[in-house]
Amino acid sequence: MDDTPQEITSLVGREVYSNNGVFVGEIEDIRLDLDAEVVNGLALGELNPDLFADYDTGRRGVIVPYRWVRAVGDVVLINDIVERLKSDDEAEHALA
Amino acid sequence: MADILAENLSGKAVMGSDGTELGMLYNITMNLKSGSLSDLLVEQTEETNQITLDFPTDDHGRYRIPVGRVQAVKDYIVIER
Repeated sequence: MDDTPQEITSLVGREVYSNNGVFVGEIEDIRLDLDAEVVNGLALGELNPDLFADYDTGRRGVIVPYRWVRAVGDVVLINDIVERLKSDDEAEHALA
Repeated sequence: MADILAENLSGKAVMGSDGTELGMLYNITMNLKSGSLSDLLVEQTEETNQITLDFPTDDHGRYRIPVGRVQAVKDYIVIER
């Protein structure tokens, strides 16, 4: 990732994987906090059912916090915490 | 301002705090590494291409307006001006 600003919609459609190479979903939208001037979440669809089967909302989509993002290239890599949502109170972030 | 999804902003009309129509939001630029937002890319429309603004433009003639200038977002995106 270089520091040149990119258009945010260039993220839409990219596949998201965990650091361990597990498919998570596909980026459908970007959540912005205009006061803090940051992107604070990625809205994902086309989810891996194995990861989100326990959540009703997970059938439609989830939002993962942008601080989980580890790399953005041809695909996006996020923290593998996403594989352990069941045992984690970060699960609130998975409600879309 | 509450959190907002980018799709909801796309194509929204942009207005200066003095009431001037500035154009339509085309896109927003960000730093992929840090997640910080940089500029709104605002496209001129037929009604707005008469006026010249003191903002830099990109290669396609779209104004680059720093995200920090955004005052409000509802039916319009209001830019401090």
